[in-house]
Amino acid sequence: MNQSRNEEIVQTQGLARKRVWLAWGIMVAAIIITILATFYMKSDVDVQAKREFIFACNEIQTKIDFRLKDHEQILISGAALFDASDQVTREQWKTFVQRLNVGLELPGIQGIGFALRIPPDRLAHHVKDIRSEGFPNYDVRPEGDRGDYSSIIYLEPFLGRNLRAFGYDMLSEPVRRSAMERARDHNEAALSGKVVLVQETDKDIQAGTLMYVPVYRTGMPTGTVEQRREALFGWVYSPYRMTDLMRGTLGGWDSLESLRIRLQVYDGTLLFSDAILYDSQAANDMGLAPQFTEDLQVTFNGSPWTLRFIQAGGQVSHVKVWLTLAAGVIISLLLFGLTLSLLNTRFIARQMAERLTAELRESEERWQFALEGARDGVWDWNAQTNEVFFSRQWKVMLGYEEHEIGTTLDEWDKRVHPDDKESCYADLERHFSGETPFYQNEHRVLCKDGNYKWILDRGKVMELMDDGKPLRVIGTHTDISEHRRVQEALQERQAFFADLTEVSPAGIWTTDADGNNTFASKRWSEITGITRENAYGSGWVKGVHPNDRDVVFQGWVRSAKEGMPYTSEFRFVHPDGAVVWVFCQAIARVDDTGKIVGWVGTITDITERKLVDEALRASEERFRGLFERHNAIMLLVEPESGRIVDANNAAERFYGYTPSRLRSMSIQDINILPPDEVDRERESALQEHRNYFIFPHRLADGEVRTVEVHSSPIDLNNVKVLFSVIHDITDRKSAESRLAEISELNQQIIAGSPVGISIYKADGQCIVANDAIVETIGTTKEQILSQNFRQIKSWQDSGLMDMAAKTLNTGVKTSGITLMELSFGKVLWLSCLFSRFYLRDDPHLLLMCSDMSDLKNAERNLQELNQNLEERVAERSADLLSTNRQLLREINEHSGTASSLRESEQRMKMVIESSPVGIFVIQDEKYIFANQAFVNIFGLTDSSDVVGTQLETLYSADSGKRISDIARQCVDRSEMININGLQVLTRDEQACHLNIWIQPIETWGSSAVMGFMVDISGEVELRSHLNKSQKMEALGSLAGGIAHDFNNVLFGIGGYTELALKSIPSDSPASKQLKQALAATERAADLVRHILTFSREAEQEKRPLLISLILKESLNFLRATITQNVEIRRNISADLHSVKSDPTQIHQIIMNLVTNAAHAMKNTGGVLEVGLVEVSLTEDFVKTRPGMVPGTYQKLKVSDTGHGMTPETLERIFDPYFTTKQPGEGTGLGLSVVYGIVRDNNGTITVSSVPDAGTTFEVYFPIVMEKETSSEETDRVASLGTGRILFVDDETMVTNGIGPVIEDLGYEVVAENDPVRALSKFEAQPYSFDLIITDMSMPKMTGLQLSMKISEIRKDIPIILMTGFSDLLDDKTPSDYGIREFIYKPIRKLILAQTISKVLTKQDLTGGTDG
Amino acid sequence: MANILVIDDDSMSRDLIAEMLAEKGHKTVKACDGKEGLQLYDTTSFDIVITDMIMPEVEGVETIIQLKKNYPDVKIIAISGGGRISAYSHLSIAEKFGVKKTLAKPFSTNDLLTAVDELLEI
Repeated sequence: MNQSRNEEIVQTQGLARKRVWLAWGIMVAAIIITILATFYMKSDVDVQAKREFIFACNEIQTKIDFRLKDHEQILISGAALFDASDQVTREQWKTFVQRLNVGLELPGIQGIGFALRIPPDRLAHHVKDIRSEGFPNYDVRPEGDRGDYSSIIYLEPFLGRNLRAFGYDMLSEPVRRSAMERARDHNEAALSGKVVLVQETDKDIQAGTLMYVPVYRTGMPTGTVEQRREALFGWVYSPYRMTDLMRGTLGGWDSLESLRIRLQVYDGTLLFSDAILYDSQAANDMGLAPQFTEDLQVTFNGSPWTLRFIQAGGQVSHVKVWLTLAAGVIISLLLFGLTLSLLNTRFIARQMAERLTAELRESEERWQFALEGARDGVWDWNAQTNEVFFSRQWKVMLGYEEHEIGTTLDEWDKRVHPDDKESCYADLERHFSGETPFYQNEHRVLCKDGNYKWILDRGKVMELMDDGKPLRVIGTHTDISEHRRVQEALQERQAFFADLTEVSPAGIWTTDADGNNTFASKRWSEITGITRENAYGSGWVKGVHPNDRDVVFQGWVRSAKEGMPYTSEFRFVHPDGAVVWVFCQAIARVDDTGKIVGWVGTITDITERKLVDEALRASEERFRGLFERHNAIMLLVEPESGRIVDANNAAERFYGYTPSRLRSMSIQDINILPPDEVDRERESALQEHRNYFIFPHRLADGEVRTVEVHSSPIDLNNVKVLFSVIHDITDRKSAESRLAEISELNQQIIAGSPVGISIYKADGQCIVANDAIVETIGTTKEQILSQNFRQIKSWQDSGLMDMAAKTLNTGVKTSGITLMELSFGKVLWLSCLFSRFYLRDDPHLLLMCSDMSDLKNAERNLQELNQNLEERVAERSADLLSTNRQLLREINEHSGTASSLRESEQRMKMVIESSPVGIFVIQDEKYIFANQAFVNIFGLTDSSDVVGTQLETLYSADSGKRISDIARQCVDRSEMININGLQVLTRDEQACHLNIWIQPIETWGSSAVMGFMVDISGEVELRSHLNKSQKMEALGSLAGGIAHDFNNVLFGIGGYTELALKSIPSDSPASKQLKQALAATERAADLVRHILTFSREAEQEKRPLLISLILKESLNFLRATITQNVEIRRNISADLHSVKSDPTQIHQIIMNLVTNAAHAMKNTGGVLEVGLVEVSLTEDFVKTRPGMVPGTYQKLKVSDTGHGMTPETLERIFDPYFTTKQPGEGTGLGLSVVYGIVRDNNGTITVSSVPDAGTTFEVYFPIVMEKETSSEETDRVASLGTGRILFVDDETMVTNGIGPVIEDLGYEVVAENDPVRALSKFEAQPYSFDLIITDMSMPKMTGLQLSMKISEIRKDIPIILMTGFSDLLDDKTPSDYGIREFIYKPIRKLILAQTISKVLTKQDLTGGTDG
Repeated sequence: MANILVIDDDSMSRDLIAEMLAEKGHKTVKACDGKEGLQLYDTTSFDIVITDMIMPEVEGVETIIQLKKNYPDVKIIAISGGGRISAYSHLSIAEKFGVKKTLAKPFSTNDLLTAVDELLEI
């Protein structure tokens, strides 16, 4: 079946494709036709258009032609007038023309006139004639000698423009002349070529043309040309202004048609633009491509006019074409669709027919099979003839052969069981009457073997007769005997089942698939308390305990899903409230497909069991709870194996194992006692009637604790386990042992005590007595122990009993020494101490006593002695006391004074020691005092280095003597001497400048002076540095100022010298001299450049570089120039940092220093040492050197072993122009240049020299941490400046415009339009910017505010403010805001560049401060 | 061979440059400041403009800017004698504004003529 279907599908698809191709084909064909039609239509339309166009053109041509002819006619009539009259006067002419009314009839004619031919000899006369007519100014124009003249003597209307023509000789103009001659010669009207009419003014100049008709004198022959020329009298003519004429001719054509067709009238046959007489669309050349062009000619008596008609493209209405195309496409599409649908329909129809046929065939087959299969008999009964067709099966069913049954109704009728016949026919009748839609009856039919078979007889009337009576009835016989049997069996079963259900002790129920109850047994009702009726459907649910409903249903659902039998336990609540527990079991009843159609189940009353279970569970819970939560350690142990079955939380806490871990252990893991010991313990427990064992248990952390284990067997789920409760008795045990120890100790103490101890109960009974007391008393222990102190007489007599009683009652300790007379005669002094203590709430008395008898005696003796002594002492002490008192008084006085004196001395000491001024005291030429400041001046540590020494020892050379002179002077004169700026040399050969005050001290006896000394060496040095630098700066400014002019002058000198050299022979003496002059100018230029390096503004290319490289390079270069007798030693460290400077400058320094050094040794030879190291300069070092800060520097050292320098020379070595060299050997600028460069780089240079030994220069450069940048970078970055600029302006036009300009200058620009954002950018990385440029007026934040805020973050960053003049500033000075410069708008690039450079350079050189 | 406009406020320099150029047959027109120079350039066509950088009235840079604005293809040689600000810095400003050849005073005839030749070839 499937296969054929697939084949069908494939077939169908194939057909489908074919169909589609067909449809497509048709559509394509249709479209092609459409396209063809469209083209045809288009060409048709075009042709039509063209034809129309041509027609229009021809029309116009004709019009023009006719018009010209009309004009000719008029002129001829004019000529006729002349012919007809003897004379035509002006008036007559006027009348003539007036009648013609050309203005109205023939617009375009400028006028109609007459030109008279005037032979030259008649000219003067003619003029006179005309003048006499009333035209005093008349003349024939233009003047000149020619042949015949002509003159326009009549021209009507004689107004306006036409007046200008009066007297004009048209023959003088070649174009007119030609026409006139033509007319004259041929006696016909002639049209002139294109002219400018004399009527034309400045305005609206149109092209013009004239028509002439000759007038001959009457009577003269006009046959030939010559005759005509002779006879010519004049011309009647008309001037035409072409535009007017055409407009007149074409009437309104212009306004309508000219929109479509453009008419150009050319004079002649050639279409030159200067021949154009008229253009209908001259003014507005639409510029569209011409679609049609037609040239026609109008020839007027030999004068051709070419008419060019142009129809612009797009004028043709292609509407028809488009319509055709559209229609065609639509039709094609429709055709496509139609074809497709038709094909489909046809196909579908065919398909349907085929299917129906197949179905029918199938159906028939099915019937056949069905019947065969079902083994039903079929009968076909003709109700009228009572003929019946019985099928073979029908017969076989009854046990007959095919041929054994006839074809009559009777065959059936006679076999029907008599008892069933009635109902059978009744059913038949019911069907025939229409009551039932078909006939059905079960009845018994006699079989061949004599038995009756139950048969199900079904049939239906298939055909009716016209009167409605049945004609044909067809039916089946089905053997239902089996079926019947089964039914009976079923019924029996059902009855059995019903009985079963009634008898069963379990309640039985059924439900449908949805759980609606369909059956409930009696027992069920008894159990649940719900009647069968009430249970029906969903009623039974109401009986289920509300709390259990969910469980019940969920279980149901699960069971249904998993296909498992359903079991659950739940409660029913009886109407009277009684609760019943039921155990419910059910299975699903499924149909063939496995779908559940219902449930059947049982319930049993398990209430009692439940209660029992509940109790059990509750108790188990309780136990569980107890077990878990109890603070006592509990374990459940399997008795045989010792495996730990369970442990509670307390056990976990105690042992340190988790319960799960414990459950995996056995008790033997914990109980570290070996098994035999365990047994022994068990035995001893038994013997001691203990129900507990004492074992050592090991915890998880290894600690062993002693435990008491109380074990008892219990039943847990029918398993015997040992339930053990464990008490940790480690502490108790240890406590016990400790107690035992203590007790032992106590015992020993008491026993061994030399002091007698006895303890009594409250009632007086002695319970403890130690050996000492026994000995003291002199009796036996038993004796004492048997005593009761309340009964001892001696106690009573001695007062001991009172003491004892007091202590016992009050608890207060009592003690005393009593004389006791003991019962057995012993007398002794007893020292006793009673105290009370409690023993388990019972008060006890403790007595401690010892025999004092000996002591007592001794005491008595002593007392006697004492008595004597006391008397004697009393005497003496009286004396002493008074003396004492006086002494005390004196002491007090002294100490007061002493302390105040001491205080002031301390204060004085402090002041003197802390004074920054050096203070010293000299007596007898020796220092007897010097404070710390004084000591420091000499570089010593402590005043002890000074005190005691001779005055002069602190100084060297004369300085000491000078000081002592001063001191002596001071003493002699007895007055203070003050010398400022005294230069001394200390004993370390240090030069110092000092301010000294010395004054004599009067009160100290022999010559002593006190002195104050301040070391001003630092200031002196500072001042000298400043002087030097100021000198340099002055020079620098000067240099800068004249440099420009100087360069110009040099340029002049050098240039002209060059030129001069060119014009003289190169070997001439003058040439040589001039060359020298040129060399001199070059030197001068160098000089200028040198000088300019002073100037701060000299442009330097400062970048981080490695001095070592330049040093090496320079040395290599200089090696050649240095004399051989000089050895060069170099000592350049590795791993040096970079220094920010200009390589040229560094080079200059090196060159200068090395050259100088070499020069110093050039005669004698020596060692030139060059070194480069990094050093750390301290505060001390830099404090005298302005512009430097402490830090790491690179020290360049150049030293020689040459002739050295004197101190005087050293002083002036850096002065410009100072030199010790001979003239010509050097300018003296070298070192000053070096000095300037060094200062410029924030470094310093020092020199030291010893005459004849050598000189050392040391140059210090501050280092930077950056790497040396490559030249390309420098070129790009530092040509004008480096820096990262934050550029803020709210107008994007400005930032987009100016930003790139600043970048071009070499800076990195961060542009920002929003000042708030700009501020936060700055805040994020304040030191990443070198300069801020900001606009003044911005929304959100003004430039001033922004500057202020930025200054707050970083005070030293320079800010440039851009402002227009309208911006207002308040009183605060700009520098408060950190603003260094203003730039006024509009911004000029040069100013911007200069300002930025200025601000940044200043920043660079001075590190932020103005200097 | 070429028409050259020379702008310099120093008359000696102007004359000297003119003479130098005359050596090679170049024709020179002299202007004493930027203003005059610009006016001249507007009315006559020159192949090259030589301008000093430091001048009164219209400074060298401004002159260059104006020229470049109105005649983008103008060929300029900038010269300078320096002063407070070194010639180098003036000339590098000029370079920023598109001047391709710069000379620092004093320069030799050769320098000048070479620069002119190179510019003319470009």
